[in-house]
Amino acid sequence: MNDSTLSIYVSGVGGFGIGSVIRILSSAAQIKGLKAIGSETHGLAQRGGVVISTLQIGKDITGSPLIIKGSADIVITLEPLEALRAMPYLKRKGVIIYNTQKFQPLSVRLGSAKYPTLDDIKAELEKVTDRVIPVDASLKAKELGLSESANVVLLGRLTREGAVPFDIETMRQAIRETTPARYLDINLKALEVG
Amino acid sequence: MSEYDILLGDAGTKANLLGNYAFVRGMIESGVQVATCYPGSPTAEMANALLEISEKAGIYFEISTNEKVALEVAATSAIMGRPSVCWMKSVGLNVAADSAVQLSYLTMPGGLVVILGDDPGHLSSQNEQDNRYYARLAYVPFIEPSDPQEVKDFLVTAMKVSQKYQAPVFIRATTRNCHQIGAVTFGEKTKSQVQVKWDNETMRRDGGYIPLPGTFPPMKRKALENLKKIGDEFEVLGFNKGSRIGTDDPKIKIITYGHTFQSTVSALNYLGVSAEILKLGVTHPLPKRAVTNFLESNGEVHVLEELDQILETEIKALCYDQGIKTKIIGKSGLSDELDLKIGEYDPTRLVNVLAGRLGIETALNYSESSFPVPVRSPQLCPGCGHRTAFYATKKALGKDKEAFSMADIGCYSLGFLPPYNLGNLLYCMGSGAPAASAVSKAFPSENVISFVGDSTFFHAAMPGIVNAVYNKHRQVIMVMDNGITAMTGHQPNPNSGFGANGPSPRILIDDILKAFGIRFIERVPSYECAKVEDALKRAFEFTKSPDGGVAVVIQEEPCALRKSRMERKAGTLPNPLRIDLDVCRNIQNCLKNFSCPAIEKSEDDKVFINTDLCIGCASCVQTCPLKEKPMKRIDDFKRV
Repeated sequence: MNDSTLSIYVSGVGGFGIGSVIRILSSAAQIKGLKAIGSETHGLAQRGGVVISTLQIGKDITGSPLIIKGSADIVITLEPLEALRAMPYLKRKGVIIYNTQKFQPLSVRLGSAKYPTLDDIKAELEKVTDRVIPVDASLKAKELGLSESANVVLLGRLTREGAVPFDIETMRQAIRETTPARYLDINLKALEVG
Repeated sequence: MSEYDILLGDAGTKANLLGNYAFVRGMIESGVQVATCYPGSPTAEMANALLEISEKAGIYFEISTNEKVALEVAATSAIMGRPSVCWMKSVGLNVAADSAVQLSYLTMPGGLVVILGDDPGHLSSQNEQDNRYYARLAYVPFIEPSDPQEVKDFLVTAMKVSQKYQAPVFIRATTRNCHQIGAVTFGEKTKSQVQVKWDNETMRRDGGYIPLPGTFPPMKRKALENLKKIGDEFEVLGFNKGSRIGTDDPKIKIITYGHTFQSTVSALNYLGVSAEILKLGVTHPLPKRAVTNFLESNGEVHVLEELDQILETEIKALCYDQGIKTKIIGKSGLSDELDLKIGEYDPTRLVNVLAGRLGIETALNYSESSFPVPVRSPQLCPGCGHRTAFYATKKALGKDKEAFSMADIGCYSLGFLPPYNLGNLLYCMGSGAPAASAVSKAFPSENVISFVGDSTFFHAAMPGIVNAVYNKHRQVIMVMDNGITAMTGHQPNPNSGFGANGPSPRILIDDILKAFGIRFIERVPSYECAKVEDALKRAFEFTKSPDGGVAVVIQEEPCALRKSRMERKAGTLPNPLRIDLDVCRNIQNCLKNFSCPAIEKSEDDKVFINTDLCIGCASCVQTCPLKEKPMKRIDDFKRV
């Protein structure tokens, strides 16, 4: 990975729009004339298990789309526990943004494990970076009328924070290019409220 | 208009594609006429694309009943002169092996490329078997792409070579090839120049197609000669490439291939180490010229290969033959030899491996959570009919009798997880019924059950079920009928009523079982626990009656994930339920013994329903022992 490559690690629970995050960012990269390589999880893990995608954006990318531990410039997770699980990939001084809507794993529901508090998760992540951004993205998305657009709410916030090398207009265009017509308006709004 | 239409684009089109879609584009560019598969990770998405665009692409596409059948349809098409591709997951080749090992003996003018979805790291298979062995067993050349552009290009070249030598070629598609996204520049679409022909003359060409004691030796000679010729051809086709990492003098020399090459580059960049790399695009037969040129000097060469040390062994043999003194370092004889044979070589791992070999200290810099992160295993979806059926099965089997339930391959393998713990022995597709047969012989007084899904039933389960009837074994077979091949992404199967080419007669499992002579067959709605439990209890009784034997309970409910997605789209998904805490006595049976993912636990240890997950099936209601049920549908809920 060259210094000019931006490494983005995206994770969450199967079925919550991780693929779209990759598609939107990858499309934004193309609009800006940058290359993008990525990896996805398919198969059994999508049944409520941990799903991980990665994306690397840059002028000249070589190597694997997978990310080396401790080198993700940005970690985006759609569930707080998964933010904690993704922690080893986060670069020191990197950005981690996550949806605070919890989905309890089986181990927690059956009482064999304890779900950490949101405060504990945040404190833990702050050991790696001071750029820890929890967002109640699901709530904001529901206010817009589409819970699936929580992922775009996170992308909107990332754009506002200046964490991705794309301005809001580029992100809007990327969303137009990747979102089915019926969800387009809501996704564009989700970008704004983020 | 389909999202896959881009794959039909003209030459020069640039697109960011998933590896599996790059394979499909490769088929289109190669003028493939016949494409067959049985769905399985990591190759399943190829089927999803072709289900939508095969007609527009001019490809006959079918989802066959299993990998062996798929291969036989594709190979025979190639023999008739039609360019053909067949793909399967890694372990699918075990099913297809009986035919796969015959391929190289047969003349295939149309060209046949077989894509093998290997799974180093066992991300979605029952093992991580190294299918490079099969290439050696079957005398078939084996090529290994890395990024999506290579995936597409290698397939196109493989088809050309296959047509030239009229012999099959294998392409390995690991999970990281299939599920990698990268830029692909499209090439020209070619039309096959091969004539489609099969007659009394062609059926005898090159020794014919029937291996007999007298005719086999020349067929094998042909296979071996083709392998050598294709190997020589591959050497000059640019499959194997030398490259330099960094600008300093190389500190290390490496031979590698496929995604491991990409991981190696990432790791070297991370470590800031210069290296000289030979990236092999062909790993069988070993490209001797390319390897020899790379080795020709004393010193050390590292072979980085996932899983078994096949390349390492062959390169060492080459050194011996050629009198080359280069030291080859792979896995063999190293202190971490066993570890190196398990799992994939991702960039993080190779940073550690290379840092260790170069004497670089603690290269990685990351932190882990200081307290445990609860495991999140995959689970049956909210509202899955298998869950209600498992809940009822557990009751019918009785306390602590889970060991007498045998698993099979499908979403329902997840029944193994708590709280059900059902399905406790698994080999592969179709192994449930034979395993249960053996259990019933060892423990004649126990209730024994095996589970099998509808797609698995047609794929490999029937011989085991016939065996159970024929040899008079006593067991209940529970057919998990959700009408679709769910785990791999909802491809149709003979029980679906449709196939890759539109409506198809639904082949009724009930009728087949009846024809097997099974006299206890009951179809029950999965969502109704009492009915499932009752049917099972009677089925167990039947297996033990003097003229009993095999009893079948078919639990039926459409795949909840597929159904709820369609209902969500149509706006007809039922409202979710909530727990009325005035009624709930916090018994928590729904949470602890039924365990739908939508049922969660609050911080003050009360049960609540996650309305984002609940699909409103209400099957949890029957798990509450209270007379007045606390689960109530939310009347004024707006689905968002």
